[in-house]
Amino acid sequence: MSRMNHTPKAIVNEEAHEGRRIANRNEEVYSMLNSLRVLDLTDEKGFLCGKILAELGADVIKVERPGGDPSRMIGPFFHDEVDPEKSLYWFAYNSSKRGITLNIEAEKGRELFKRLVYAADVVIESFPPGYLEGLGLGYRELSSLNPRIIITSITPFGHTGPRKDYKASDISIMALSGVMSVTGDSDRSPLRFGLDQSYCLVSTHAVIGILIALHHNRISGEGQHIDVSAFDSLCLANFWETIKWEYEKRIVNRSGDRMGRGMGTTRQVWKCKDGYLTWVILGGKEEMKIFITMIEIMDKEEMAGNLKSVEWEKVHISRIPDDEMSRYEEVIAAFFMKHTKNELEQLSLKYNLRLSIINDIVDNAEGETLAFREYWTDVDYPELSTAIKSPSHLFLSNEVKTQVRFRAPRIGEHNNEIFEKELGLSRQEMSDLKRIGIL
Amino acid sequence: MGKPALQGIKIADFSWVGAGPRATKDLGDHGATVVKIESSKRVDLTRLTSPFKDGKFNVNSSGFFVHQNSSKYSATLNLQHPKGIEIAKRFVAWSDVVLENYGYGFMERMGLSYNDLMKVKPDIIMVSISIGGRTGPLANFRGYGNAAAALSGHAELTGWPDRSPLIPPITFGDIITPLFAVIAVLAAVEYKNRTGKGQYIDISQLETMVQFIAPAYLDYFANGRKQTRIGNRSPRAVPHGAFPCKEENSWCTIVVADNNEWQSFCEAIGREDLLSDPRFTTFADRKTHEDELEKIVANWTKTNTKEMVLDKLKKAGIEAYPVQNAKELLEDPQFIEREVFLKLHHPVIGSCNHQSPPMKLSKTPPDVRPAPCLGEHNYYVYTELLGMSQEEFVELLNKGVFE
Repeated sequence: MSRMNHTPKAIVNEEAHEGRRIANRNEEVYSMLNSLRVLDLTDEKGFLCGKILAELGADVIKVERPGGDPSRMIGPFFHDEVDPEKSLYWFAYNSSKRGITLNIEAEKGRELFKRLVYAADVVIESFPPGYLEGLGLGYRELSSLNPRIIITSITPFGHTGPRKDYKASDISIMALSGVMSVTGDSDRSPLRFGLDQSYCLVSTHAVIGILIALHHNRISGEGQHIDVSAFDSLCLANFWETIKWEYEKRIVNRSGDRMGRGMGTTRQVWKCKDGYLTWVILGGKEEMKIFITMIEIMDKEEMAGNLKSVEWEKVHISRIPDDEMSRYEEVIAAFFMKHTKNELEQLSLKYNLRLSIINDIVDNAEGETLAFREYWTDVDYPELSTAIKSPSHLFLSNEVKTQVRFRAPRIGEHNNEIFEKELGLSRQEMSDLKRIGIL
Repeated sequence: MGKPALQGIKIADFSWVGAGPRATKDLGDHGATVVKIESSKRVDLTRLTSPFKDGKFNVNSSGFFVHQNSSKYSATLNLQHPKGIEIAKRFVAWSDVVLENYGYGFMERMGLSYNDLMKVKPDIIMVSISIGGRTGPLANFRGYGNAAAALSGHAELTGWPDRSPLIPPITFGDIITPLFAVIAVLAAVEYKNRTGKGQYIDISQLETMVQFIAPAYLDYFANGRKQTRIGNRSPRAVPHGAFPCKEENSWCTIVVADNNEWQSFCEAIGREDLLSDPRFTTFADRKTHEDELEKIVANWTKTNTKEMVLDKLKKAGIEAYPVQNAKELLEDPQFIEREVFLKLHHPVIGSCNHQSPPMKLSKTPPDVRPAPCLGEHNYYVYTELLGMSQEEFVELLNKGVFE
């Protein structure tokens, strides 16, 4: 359901707004990393890393095997047409990168790769540990060629440890990290998060590693090897559970849409007229004020029921037994059911109720918040005769743009630009190399 | 052994609770000088968050605080004191980066807006973190930790198709957004070193989280499809899910990606008959009959212990892993080998886990130091870093400026 009909009072911070207008007027798009050259050999475990670097201004070149990477077959697909040039997953995570094909397993391909590394600042890869070393393209060889080079390895478990050679999908990482064991309902299996969150996490950690290494490189002139692991990254996200064990020897059970509180649990996901929202009754002085305000609002609509008769200022929420809490929750649930997501969001903003709508995809795609921030931008896909709206920025700045620049690359799209124009290969050499499967 | 890479970068960290503090931890771990500016009058909520050492409340013994605040100096400053803002501006003059995640308008009301800061230091880098950004309809929104996961679509995409969206029990927004704050700081420092210019950066939790689920949005824009939760399933494999083993609340994840693995899987579980079952012949067939297939798999796993399930499937080359809880994770050999957590000595808590930075750098490893106690470094920060004289420090201390 579109929420475009409602016009909320938009809060405008004039400085940041003005900054955006200024940045848009600049002829030259200032970017933060504009002289960095990155060679990106990742699969889906590492796509987001190169995209973030590209949208910070780096020149990122996706290096695929001839014929294109298998990860181009990850859906969903444009108009559900299964095609390596129509993967929306590929489009989403590889925007702002150029693309070449190169067979690095062949000697001639390795030679060309080394020439590219010689002139590059960063290499990102997600091969199994040892694969690149086996080809003579490990950190030792590449850094002797180019001491500045920063090699970033993105893998499920890292380059060290008993599981380093194991393969693992996102759900396996979720399982091992402890995140799954506390996610889901008590009467069903543990759940993973939607899409591949561990891959996105480790890719973002890789960006941080690269920027740290870059800082060192600027001072010392030397590069280094960075090792990030999806497992390590996701374990860090789960730290609260490990603290409960370390300090209280407590293991938390899955409680679905209820949140732990003191003696029991409290509801956190509620249904409303046209969807869902999250809101929690917590203990504490400030939280009690919010709860009392909510009851007053409900009372205006004569829906406060049994909540009116309690002196909430004197109550400790954490000490209310579950069955009593349930009766209060029923009253609140009935109130929410009478209202739409839009109405409840406005109430929350007006009275500071700390209530969040659980947005579905359409809410964010069409809603005012992201539209106001110009978050959705048309990215052109001339080969598909269309433009597809995509996230435009990582964050806003008054000085630079962190911007999606162009669509994800087609297979070998920039072979000529890179191999011919930059490396000086002739047309004949290019077609010979293509014929023997190097390009 | 090399030194941490970010030495020399100075950060005045005004952030408290949520997505702010975790960002400056990574910077401090890698050698930046991070001063966490706190106040005993307005304590960082994470210091008040349980669990505490021995279950006894103390602003210095929260395990939750420890995990997010390693390698920082703590200086207390009462911003409400008449002299408070003047001192805050001395931090600005000293620092390269100011980071904050206060409610909308707070910094402006204090006289610490970006414009104010630029008057003190024209090339200051200021990073603001908030749920919806500093401009727009959600600019004055305040929510609880999981607001971002609810707003972004993460909750919508997590859960069972026949049940409500699931709010992840970990505050995922406070995991993701700090990473973008670190990236913003480092990229802005690089930009400043190149151009001499600072900047004001406005980070929205909602916007950073949407990046992590971008394919779902492209599916809507390109195909009009409104993606929603699919439990543990995946379009890329079948079976793909968590299955119950014999022991109570004991689960294994199993992923079978293609026909070759399907064959190995059926042989491993002693069900070669499934290979000639027309319901399961092709990948598409298995997807069509996924409900029945999952029941068959669960019936097998339920009759085996977790160890037997993993053993049999591993031997067949099938991707199968245990669903671990926090205790099992802390004992996991990979977790231990990678030193995901480090045991450091904390002055109040004693030996306790601190998070290691997840990126391992071969030449410039991090130097992780214990999380600070409240105001622990006041003397050092004010006299050494800000260059205050002993006399002035004592005078201000007595006036209550450092509360």
